[in-house]
Amino acid sequence: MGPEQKSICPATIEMLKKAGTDGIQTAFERSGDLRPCPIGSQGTCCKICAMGPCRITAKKKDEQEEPLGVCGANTSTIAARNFLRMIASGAASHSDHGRVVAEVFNEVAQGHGNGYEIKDEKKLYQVAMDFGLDIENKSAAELAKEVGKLALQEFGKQDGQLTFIQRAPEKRQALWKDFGVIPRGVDREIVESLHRTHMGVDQDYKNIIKHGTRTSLADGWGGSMIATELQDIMFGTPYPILSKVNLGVIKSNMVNVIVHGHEPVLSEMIVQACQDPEIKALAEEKGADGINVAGICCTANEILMRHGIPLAGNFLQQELAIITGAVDAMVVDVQCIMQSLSSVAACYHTKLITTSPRAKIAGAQHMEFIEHEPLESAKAILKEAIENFPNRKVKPHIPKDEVDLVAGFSHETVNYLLGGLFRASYKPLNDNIINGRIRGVAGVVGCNNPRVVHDNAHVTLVKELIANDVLVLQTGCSAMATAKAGLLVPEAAAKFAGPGLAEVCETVGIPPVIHMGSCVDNSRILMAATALVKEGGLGEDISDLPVAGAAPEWMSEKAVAIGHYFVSSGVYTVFGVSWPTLGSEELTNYLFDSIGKDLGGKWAYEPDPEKMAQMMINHIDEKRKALGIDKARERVLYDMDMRRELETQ
Amino acid sequence: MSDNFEKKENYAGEHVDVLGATYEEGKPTGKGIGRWAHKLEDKDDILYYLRTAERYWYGQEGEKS
Repeated sequence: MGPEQKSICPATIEMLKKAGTDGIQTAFERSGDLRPCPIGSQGTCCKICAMGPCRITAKKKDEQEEPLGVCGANTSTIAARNFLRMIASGAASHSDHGRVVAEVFNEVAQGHGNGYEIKDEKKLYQVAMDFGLDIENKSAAELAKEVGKLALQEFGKQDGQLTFIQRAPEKRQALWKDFGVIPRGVDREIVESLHRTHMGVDQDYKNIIKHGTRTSLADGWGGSMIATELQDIMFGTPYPILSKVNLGVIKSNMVNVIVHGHEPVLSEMIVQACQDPEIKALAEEKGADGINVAGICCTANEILMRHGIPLAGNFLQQELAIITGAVDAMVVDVQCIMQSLSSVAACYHTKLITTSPRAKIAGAQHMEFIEHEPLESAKAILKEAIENFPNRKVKPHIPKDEVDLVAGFSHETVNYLLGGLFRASYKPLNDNIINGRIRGVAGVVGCNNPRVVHDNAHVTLVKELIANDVLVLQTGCSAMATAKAGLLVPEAAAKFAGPGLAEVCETVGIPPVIHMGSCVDNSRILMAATALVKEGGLGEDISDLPVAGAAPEWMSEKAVAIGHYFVSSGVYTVFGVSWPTLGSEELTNYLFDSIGKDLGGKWAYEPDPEKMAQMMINHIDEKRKALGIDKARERVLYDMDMRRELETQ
Repeated sequence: MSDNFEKKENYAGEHVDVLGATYEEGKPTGKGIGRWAHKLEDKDDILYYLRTAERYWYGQEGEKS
């Protein structure tokens, strides 16, 4: 299979050709050489004890007895355990990110920010009110100390409920309470997930998935939301900002520093340190025109949203950025970082620098990010990159592709854009959903996966949705894919959106595809969905809304955690690529159907993005019908006779 | 007054000159453009905004349905 069959992104295709010429193997080739395990990919390989691993296949028609593992576990139990472990790992990843942010926040609150500060007092007061603090009689500095302490306690709580649960619609909270899935503490639910899936503990697939619900809610309405909110307070709540995306943002005459991973605590400081006169002078001394910071994955999204720092690319472009020969340092923190970066970097002059004690890579240079000396850590890393600039081995080959995008749509900014300062509101959005100009809202998020054509499912799905008047909210690598396709600019509305959605986008001045941030910022989508409910006219719960979610190119456990907290919050959620429980028909039927009776939301699986779009649109239409807004109604202007007629009735 | 007249056809089918846009075209400039929250100048402003803009969470209004 040639590069043209592996991606729809022209820069990716160009760099895959260069990788071939340079003799570099990438994830694209490795995925072709390595077939997925047919049993593991369906969720029925159990390796949680030394009696196995037990690789169980579903019962065939001619078989009398159900296939069982050595301990007697059936396919439903095994697949449910594996599914819960994916949720737990995803929730742990987002939440450990949140914990690091909370720890840094506490340092700032105690007056040891060393470069970090409280940038958004509004968000601080907001979160302080969530925690029930007396905001009238306390200063911002006093509140920050209390918020920091309480936010950190959310992780270790043993009982009660997570604070941000109370942000959800009232009916949703009642449903969670009745079903017994309100999360107590973030860590508690994750630890219990690992206990329940140990050999010989929870062996009822519905009960296992029920704890998956509780754990995923501890992520979406807990760890992830804490990360988003505290980051907003420290680094600023995003507002619309123009930037560029794709490998063309790498500049041959500059020191290129690519930040990659997920946590913004270091990358925020790198952005700040770039402005330091000493650092600028050193870059000039080495013959560079300056320092160019660009990002990969969600670290990129974080600094894009708040500073407009350009995106070099999404998950599957991390190796390709190095293959340009122009990356002087790739600075990584945590999550979605391929180990292969080390060997690819060794073929060029690129320094691969790991910064987190939780994520070292053999062969990489480790420069630990010291949180109480953040600016000094960032400067030291930048100096390594600058010193490496003269060591370029080959003439850089950088694709020309770079595309404009507008990002920075937080829930708060959407609220402001639609209502203004006097009375910010989601009402215009609700009104336009009710009158049918906007058919519904879709959240399209998630990763890249080399098992499918890079970016194709994201772009095809989103184009199909907006053409059918569905407003799309995005985060993560999915947003980068559609940004590269030119969908994240206001002009895209006239070109790609249906007439109703285009009219609304033109009036408000927004793109038809709204970039809401990194993968922890899926919590912003939860808030947007809640705002739609609370504004009124579209039912009493998220499950009543004409909305749907999708991760068409997912690959990570974090995606499963996100998907499950959306399902648990009442959203119909469709995944592409493959589905990790297909080895158990019973469990799959539960997740795809009857879980809806418990939670309002349910899962679906469809690898074809056009069919996926149709499934989501069908769901949106069903919800519109249930709300009684499925038929277009002509607006009638009443004359005086008609008014009198009304009054006499 | 702008001399930006557009030629249009009136209901009688006659060509007429219609005054076009009179605003000065341009793009907003300056650092921090779009940072709408900076319009909230002090704590009172912020709290008033939160209680109106985020009224379903922090104001007196409950959920609508």
